[in-house]
Amino acid sequence: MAGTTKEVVTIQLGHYANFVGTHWWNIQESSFVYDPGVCQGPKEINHDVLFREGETLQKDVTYTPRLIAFDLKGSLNTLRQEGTLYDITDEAEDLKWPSDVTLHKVDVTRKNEFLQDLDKQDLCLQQEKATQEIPHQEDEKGEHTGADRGDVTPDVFGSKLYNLDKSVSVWSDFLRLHLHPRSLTVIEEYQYENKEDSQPFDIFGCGQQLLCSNQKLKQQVEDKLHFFIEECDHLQGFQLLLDSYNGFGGLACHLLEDLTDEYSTKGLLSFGVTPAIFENSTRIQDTHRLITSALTYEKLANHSSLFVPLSLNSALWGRKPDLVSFPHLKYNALLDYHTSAVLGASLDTVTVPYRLETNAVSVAELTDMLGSHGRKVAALSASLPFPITDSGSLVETLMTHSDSLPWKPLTPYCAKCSMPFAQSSVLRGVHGNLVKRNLAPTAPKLLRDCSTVEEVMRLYLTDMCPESLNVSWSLQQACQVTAPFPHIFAQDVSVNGLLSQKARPDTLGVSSVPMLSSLQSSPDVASLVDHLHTEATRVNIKKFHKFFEAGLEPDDFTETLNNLETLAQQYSTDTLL
Amino acid sequence: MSAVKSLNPKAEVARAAQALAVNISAARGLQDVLKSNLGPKGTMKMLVSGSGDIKLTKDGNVLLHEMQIQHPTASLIARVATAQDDITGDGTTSNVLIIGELLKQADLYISEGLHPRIVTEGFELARNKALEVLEDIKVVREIDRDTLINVARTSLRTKVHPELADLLTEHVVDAVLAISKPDEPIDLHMVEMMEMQHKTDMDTTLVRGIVMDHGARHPDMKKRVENAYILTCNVSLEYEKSEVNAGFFYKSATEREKLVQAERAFTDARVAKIIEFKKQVCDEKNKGFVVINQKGIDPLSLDMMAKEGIVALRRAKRRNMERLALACGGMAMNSLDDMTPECLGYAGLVYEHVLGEQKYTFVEECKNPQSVTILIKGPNSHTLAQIKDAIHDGLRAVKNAIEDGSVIPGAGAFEIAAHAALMKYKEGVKGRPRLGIAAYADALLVIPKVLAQNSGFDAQETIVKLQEEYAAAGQPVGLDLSSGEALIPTDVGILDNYRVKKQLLHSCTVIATNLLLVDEIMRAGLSSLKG
Repeated sequence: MAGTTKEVVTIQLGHYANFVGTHWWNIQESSFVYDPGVCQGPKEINHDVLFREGETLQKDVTYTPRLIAFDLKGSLNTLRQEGTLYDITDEAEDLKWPSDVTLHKVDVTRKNEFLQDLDKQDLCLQQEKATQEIPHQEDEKGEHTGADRGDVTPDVFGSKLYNLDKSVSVWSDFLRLHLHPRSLTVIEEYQYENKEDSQPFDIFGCGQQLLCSNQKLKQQVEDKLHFFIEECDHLQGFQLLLDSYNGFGGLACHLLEDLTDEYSTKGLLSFGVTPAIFENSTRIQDTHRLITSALTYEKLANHSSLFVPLSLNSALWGRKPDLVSFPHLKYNALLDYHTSAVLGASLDTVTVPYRLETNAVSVAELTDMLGSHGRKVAALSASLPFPITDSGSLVETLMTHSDSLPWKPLTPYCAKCSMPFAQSSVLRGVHGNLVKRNLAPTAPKLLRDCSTVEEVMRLYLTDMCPESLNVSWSLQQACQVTAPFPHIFAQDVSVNGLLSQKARPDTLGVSSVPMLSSLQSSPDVASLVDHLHTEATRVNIKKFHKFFEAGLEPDDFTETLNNLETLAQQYSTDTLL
Repeated sequence: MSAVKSLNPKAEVARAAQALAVNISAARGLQDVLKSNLGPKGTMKMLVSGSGDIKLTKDGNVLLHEMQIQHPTASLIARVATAQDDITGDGTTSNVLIIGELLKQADLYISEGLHPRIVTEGFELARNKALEVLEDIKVVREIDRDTLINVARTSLRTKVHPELADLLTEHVVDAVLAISKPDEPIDLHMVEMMEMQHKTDMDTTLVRGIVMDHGARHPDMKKRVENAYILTCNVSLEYEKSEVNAGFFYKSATEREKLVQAERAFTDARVAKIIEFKKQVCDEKNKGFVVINQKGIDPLSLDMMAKEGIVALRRAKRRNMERLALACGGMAMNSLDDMTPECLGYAGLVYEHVLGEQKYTFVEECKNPQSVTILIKGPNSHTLAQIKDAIHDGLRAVKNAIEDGSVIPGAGAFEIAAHAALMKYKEGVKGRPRLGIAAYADALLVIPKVLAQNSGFDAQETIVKLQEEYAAAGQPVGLDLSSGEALIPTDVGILDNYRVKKQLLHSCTVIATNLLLVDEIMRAGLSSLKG
C-alpha cells in the first residue's frame, strides 16, 4: 500500500445513490491503466484514495472500492451479495444433515448483454491466467497484480456499442467492477419495489430506528466499517452518497451521528441525491418524500462537514418537474440510469481535489473552505461536456461564456448562478496544447500570456467571480464515458468529447469527454432551503401518522423547520454588507 | 359495513364466516410451510436466490424472515412467532403450528354453530390449566453442567447435523458457564462469535479469551507474544489536524512542514509515554506488552512502538473494549495520564493468524476470562451463517435454563401430559366452554404428531401409543424419534426450556383468540384509493 495515501471510505445508502455510485465507480475503473507501458503522461489520480488492494484466499490480488453500500432486499437482481471475486471454486456442497433436504430455488434472472460479456471476459481471463501460471511460477510476484482483470484488452470495452436503456432496471445491471464481499449490506426488513401490502421504506424514522431495533444489522455495519477503516494508515474522511428522500435518509443520519462521534476530526462529505422524476407517484408519497427530505437535510447540514444536495430536477418538491437541460446532452429524465450518469460523472470530477496524486488537499480542508460560517450546504454545478470544439481553444471557449458561467446547476433551486462565497472548480480533459491554439490576435494580451490551463482558469474565475474565494484544479485526463455509460450525448459531440461540425455516426459511442465542475458555497442555497422550508411548513404533519409511528414528535418537526429557517439565513448576504 | 362501502366503493369487506375462513386458511397455510421443520428429523431447507446466494436453514425464525408474506393474517402470526424468538430464542415453529392447529380445531366446533366467543372462553380456561400442568411437570433441580449439556443438545440437534451439534453443545455450555456470575443476569453479548472461512464446520472452537479480526499493522511487530501485559485504551495515536481552519494556503512549504511537526510532537509525546510505561512494568525479559487501542495509530507511532518491542492494534471495536477488560482484567484507559500497573490486563498468549487478506489476533490463556469467543469455522459463508444462528439459539437455551432454574421434559412429553390433564379437567367444567377446552387439548397434540410425521411414523398410532404409555407410567413420556416408541425424556436427556413453553402457551392462546373473534375484515386503506 502506498505510504502516504490519505484514504477515504465511501458509504452509499439507497437505491438511487447506488445508481449514481455505480456510474461513478465505473468511470473510475475505466480510467485504470493496467499496463505501465501504455500510460501516457504523469499519473494524475491516486486511485488508492478510494480503492483498496486485497487478496483472496487463492492469493489473487484484488482491487476493490473501499465502499459500504446499503440497499433493500430484492434490489440486487443478478448480483450476489458477496460478489464472485472471493469465491472459492472447488465447492462441492457437503450436506451432513441426516434427514431430508429440500431445495427452494428462485428462477435465475437473466443477465443482460453487458453483464454476459463481462462474465465471458472474466472467464477468459481466468483461463488465460491458468495457462500462464505454469511457465511463470518463479516470477509470480508482480505478474498478477493486474492480471486479475483487464490486462488483455478484451472486446467488451472495445468498440462494442451497448444499448442498455431498456435492460437496466437496477444498478447492478451495469456494475462493471467487482465489489468486495463486505461491501454490500442488504436491509432485510423492507422490500425493494414493494407490492401494495408490504411496508414501504419511505419514512425518515423507519431508517433512523433500523440500527436501534436490529442488533444483527448494527453489528454487521460495525464490522464492515471496522474492516475498511482499520486498514487505513491515514484515514482522512468519509464520503456519503445517500437517497435523501426516503428511509435511507434516516439511516444515513443515524450512521453519520455515530461517525461524528467516533471520528470527530475526519472530514465528512455527504451528497444527497434524488431522482429527477418519480413516476406514478401519489400525493401522499410526494408528501412523505417532502417531509423526509426536510428532516434529512436539516440533520445532514448539522452533522456532516459539508452537505451537497443533488438532483436533475431543479424544482424538487414542486408541482411540475423543471429539468436541468444541458446544451449537448439529451437524457431521458424518466430513466434513473440516465440521470444518475450525469450525477456520477459530476461526482467523479468534483472529488478530484482529494484524489490527486500530487498536491492533493484533504476532504477536511475542502469542506472547511466551503462550509465555513455555518453554511454547511453547498451547491454543485457542472458542464458536461465542457463545450470545447475540435478546432477551438480553451481561451476561446471561455470567452464565449464571458457573461454567463458555463455550468449548469445540479443542486435544485440554484439556477440563478449568483456569485458564490467560495468555490472549488475542476476542469478536466483539456490538453495543454488546446489552451490557445488558433487564438485570434484580437484576444486580450492578458490571456495571450497565459500558457497553462491552470493560469487560464484562475484568470477566468477571478474575472467572473471577483468576490469569491476561488480555487481551481485541472486535470489532463478526461472523464471516461465508455460502456456502460448511457448514450446521452448529442450528435455534435465527437468520440473524444470535443464538439464537432460533423455529426457522430450512430454506430459510435463517445469514449471520453472534457468536463468542468464547481462546488460552491453560494447564496443560491438559501433559495433551496427556503423552498424546502416553505413547502414543508404547508404540510399538516398531524395528518401523516406514519411519521409519528416511526418516532417523530410534533415538536421535533417544528424544530426542524426552525432550524431550516436559520440555515437559510446563514446564506443571506445582507448581514455581510 | 355499508358505511365504509358508501364512502369508499373500492373497500373490500369480508364478513363473519368468510372473515374467519380467511384467517384460518392463512394460519393453516403458514402451518403447512413450517410443519416439516419441527424437530431433529425435520427437513433442511436450502434457499437459492436468483443471483445464486445460498441460505441453508431449518430454523423457523430464519425462514419466516426470508419469506415474503403478503397475507396480513399470516404476517401477523409470523410477527408473533418471531417475537417469540426475540423473547425466548426458540419456539418459532411450534408457535406457528399451535396457532394453526388451535384455529383448525376451533373451526370444527364453530362450523357446527358454536359461537367463537365460547370457544375462546374455553381456550382461556384451558390455557390456565395447561400452565398448571407445566408447573407440575417441570423438573426443578440443580442446573449443573450435565443438565445444561442436555438442554443445549436438544436445541442444537434441531439446527445442525448431530456430530456438529454435539461439538457445539460443549462449546456453548462452557461459554455460558465462563461468563456467568452468581446472582447477576447473564449477558450473552460477552460471548463473541467470530467467523473464519477456513477448514470445516467441525473445527469450530471455543477460545477462552478474545479473537479480533484485525492484527498489528507493522511488519516488525511480533506475531506471537507470551506473558503479555495488555493495555487497552481509547487515545488517539495518530497525527491529526488539531485546529479547524481553512488550511489551504501556507505561505511556503517549510511553513507547512513546521506546523505539521508541531502537531506531530503532540502525538509523539503520547507514544513516548506508553513506551516509558512499558519499560517500567516489563523489567524482566520474558514479559510482553500489547497495546489495543480503540482509536487510530498511524505508521510513525507504530514504528516507534515496534522498535521497543510493543505490539499495537488499532481501531479495536467498541464492543470488544468491554470484553477485553472482562477477559484479561485491567480497564480501558481514556487518557494516558494516570496509568498504573493495575490498569493492565494479562494474557498468557497473544498471537496472529493470517488468512488471505484477513488477519486475526487471538488473546488467549487469560487468568479468569469472563468474556469468551466462539470461533466459527466453515468452508463457505452459508455454513458459517447457519452455525452462527444455531449457536445463537443454543446460547439462549442455556441461559434460559440457568435463569429458570428448571427444565421441561422434551420430545412432546409436555403436550401429551397437558392433553391428558385437560381432558380430565374438561369433565369438571360446566357448559359449552368445555368444547373449547377439548379443542385446545387436541391442538396441543400437533407437536408430537408432527414430530412423529417428520420421523416417518404414523401420527395417530404414535399418539395412541404415547397416551397409553403415559397412563401406565405415570410420568412424562416422549417420543423416541429413531424407533417410534415411547421414552422417558429426562432419562435420555431431552430437555426443553420452561420459559419457551410458557411463552408459547401465552402467545398462541392470545393470537388464536384474537383471530377467532374477528368477524369482519375490511380493506379500505388509503393505498387502495390510489389511481
